[in-house]
Amino acid sequence: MAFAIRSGWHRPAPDVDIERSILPSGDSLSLRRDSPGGHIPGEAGVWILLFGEMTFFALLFASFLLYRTSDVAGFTASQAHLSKAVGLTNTLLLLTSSLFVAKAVGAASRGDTSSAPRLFRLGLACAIGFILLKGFEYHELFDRGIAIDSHVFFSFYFGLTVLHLGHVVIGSILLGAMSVATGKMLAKPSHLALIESGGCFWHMVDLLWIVIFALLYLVE
Amino acid sequence: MPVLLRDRLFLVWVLLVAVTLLSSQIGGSSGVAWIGSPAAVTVAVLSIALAKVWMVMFTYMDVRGAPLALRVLVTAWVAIVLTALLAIYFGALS
Repeated sequence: MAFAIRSGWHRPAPDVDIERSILPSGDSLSLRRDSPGGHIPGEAGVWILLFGEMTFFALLFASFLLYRTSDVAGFTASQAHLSKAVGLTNTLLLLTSSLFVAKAVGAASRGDTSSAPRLFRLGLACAIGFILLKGFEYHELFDRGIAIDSHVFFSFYFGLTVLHLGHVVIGSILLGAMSVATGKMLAKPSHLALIESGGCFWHMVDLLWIVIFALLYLVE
Repeated sequence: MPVLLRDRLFLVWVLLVAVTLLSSQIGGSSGVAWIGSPAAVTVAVLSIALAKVWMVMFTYMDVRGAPLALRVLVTAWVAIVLTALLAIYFGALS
């Protein structure tokens, strides 16, 4: 219970069931609250937000494909203006940031106050890389005279990517905040639930981009 | 390196990067010549994308350790979205 001693974290109230649980990394000391049926990552309410956001985006994805069926040639010609390499690089940046964030949340659950902030900052660095590359991509398109009203493909392109970029910016602020928060000792299991919730939000940003990349850059 | 090979999250990342590179090769006009038809390309890239989504949720979001209801909900959401997107692509709503 070195963590409890370091943090000044005392025994929980009797109704809070904190167990030592085996984490994926093999470490055994954890702040996680595990119920017999399993552990809901983060706050349960956050999952309502996540499924709401994901379903909203899924409806946009469906609309994109629906419009595409009425003008396949126009969509294909418009898609040719996008750089697959840029989209691929951004996908790899977000996948890598997700790895750092997943490991950061794991470190936070072990009360590791030196690794967690560093891993969150690495995730944030990838996020900033994504934002910069997206800006470069927009700049390139604008230079070629392409705008949101050039074709319905680009209405979806700018609509989806700007909406997603907003989530990246919010997620980046969360990553920065979590980097600071985990640098101080986590005091309660409820704090860890917030960290897990922030991590899940970031992973949602990643998985939304996975589908956006496939739809806008790869679908034929 | 042996430490990394025992690191499940890292191995998942390797797999995700590998299938991302694969789908990037399959996708787009260059992939059509390679894989055969635009429809085959689309089925492949969307299936890979939604499989990646499932994997991110089960591993990075740690849904694999969640109660059965959440695991079922996540898997059903992924399956429904993939089915709906492919159905629309093939003209189910046109």
